[in-house]
Amino acid sequence: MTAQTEVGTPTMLAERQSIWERIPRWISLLGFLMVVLVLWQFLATSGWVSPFILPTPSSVFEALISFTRAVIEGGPLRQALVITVVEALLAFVLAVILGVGFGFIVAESSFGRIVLLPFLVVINAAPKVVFAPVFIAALGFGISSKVALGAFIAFFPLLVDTAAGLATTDRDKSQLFRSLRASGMQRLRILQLPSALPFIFAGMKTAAVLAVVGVVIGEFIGGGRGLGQQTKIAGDLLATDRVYAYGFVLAVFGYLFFAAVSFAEHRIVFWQRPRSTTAGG
Amino acid sequence: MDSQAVNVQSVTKVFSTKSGPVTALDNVSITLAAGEFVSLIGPSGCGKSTLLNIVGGLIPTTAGTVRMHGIPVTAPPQEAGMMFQKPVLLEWRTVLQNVLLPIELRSGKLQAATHRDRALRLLADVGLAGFADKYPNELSGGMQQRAAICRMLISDPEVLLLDEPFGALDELTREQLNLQLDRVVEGVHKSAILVTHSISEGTFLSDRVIVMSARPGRIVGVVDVDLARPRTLDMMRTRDFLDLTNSVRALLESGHDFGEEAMSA
Repeated sequence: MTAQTEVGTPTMLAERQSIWERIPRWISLLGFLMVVLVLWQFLATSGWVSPFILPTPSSVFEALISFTRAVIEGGPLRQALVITVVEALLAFVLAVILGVGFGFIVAESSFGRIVLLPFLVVINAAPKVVFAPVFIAALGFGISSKVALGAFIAFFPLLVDTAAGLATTDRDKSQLFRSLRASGMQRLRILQLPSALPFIFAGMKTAAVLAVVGVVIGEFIGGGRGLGQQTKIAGDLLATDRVYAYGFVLAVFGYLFFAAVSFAEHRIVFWQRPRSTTAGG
Repeated sequence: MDSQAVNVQSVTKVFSTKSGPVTALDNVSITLAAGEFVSLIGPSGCGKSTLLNIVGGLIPTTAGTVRMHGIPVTAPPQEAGMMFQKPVLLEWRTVLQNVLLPIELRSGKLQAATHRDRALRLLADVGLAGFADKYPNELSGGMQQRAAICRMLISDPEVLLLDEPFGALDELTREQLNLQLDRVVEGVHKSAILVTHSISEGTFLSDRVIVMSARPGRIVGVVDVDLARPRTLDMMRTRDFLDLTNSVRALLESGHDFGEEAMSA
């Protein structure tokens, strides 16, 4: 009786597939983008919304083209992009080193777990932007204060994910390692670290995005010559089309950064991907 | 060397739980001669896995002692090899690297590399020739458990401790693995303790079947299995085999608290 319903279910599900599941993905994505652009153009030209708040898509596109041209030709805008990209990359690297390092301490030492962790939890609960003036006072208006703020913001998810990854090592595997008389160092290196890698990569993906956010906030508050600062200047001049264009550039950079970490994850943590079964029996 | 591979002497194990102490094992004594294969069989909660973990040095006793070849067991002994209910393979290592893990942990990577040929022979013995460079999730459950057999045997342990290793597999796969295990163990003359729920599996593999009761875990009786070795699947259809399984079943029923089972069901 139940077997019959189970046989029937998959076909019924297939019949109920929604329209979005049936048409090719690129068509639906492109179509949706077109609709948004048309609505945007309509709203921007209708007179209901000030052009200082919502410039037309075409003016944003023009700003994007002139930015691209400026980057290709060289000059301060290219320098601004390079500065922000370098800041974000350095912030990310610093966050990974510190986040994974402190994650180890918190997960593996009683000092970390009992003494350090409560302090980290409290600092994590604070809006981290409030520390921006501290970094600027300590490190000046150059890129180091932005790198520090970006790393500071990106650090916490890495810390939490590393600690969680090390702590959730499979019980059966732990028992196996105990029965094989593995040393603490062997356990950490051969069992815990690989077990934690999927978690660490999850943290790194969050950190990649947060590093960009962090350095741009740093530039908003601490000036300098990066793209964040350029965006802020454009905003102050009410050149909203440039604000949108630079925002788009920063979004693309953030996404590429995230995608690069995802790519590395798929290469390194290969066992997490569903593998096709090549053998039966 | 002591002719007794394992000597469990009056072992009692009490776990402290929130609702008070629970006696998992009550004054259990077992001796295992060198080369002997013994099964522990009993209902859930009879402490048979606890007993195996105590022999494997993974948990301490509350009272009593365990000796392996005359030496008291206080930590996982070098001469023991364990197999668990799950294959417990490291997913990021190939089958070969998994099989070599015990050597790598004991003597380092270089020493493990010298055991490569032996590992490949063991894999071939259990029908996994050609799968050495696959990753565990490319293998079926039965194949993974066969790789785990090889990992247990690579360090040439004297005593095999098997904690329901084939419990999660289907009946036919299980019979095949029992047969392979019998061949492998027979060939190298190992002592073994098998924890199992299956009367036929226990009887098929063992020289002796020890039947336990639950709460507290006690030994109810022992059935000697005097079937010829090597065992064959045809033996499972003989009158002798049936008589033996019936004896085990009778002992199990005598120690089984059906009232409690019915209430919890």
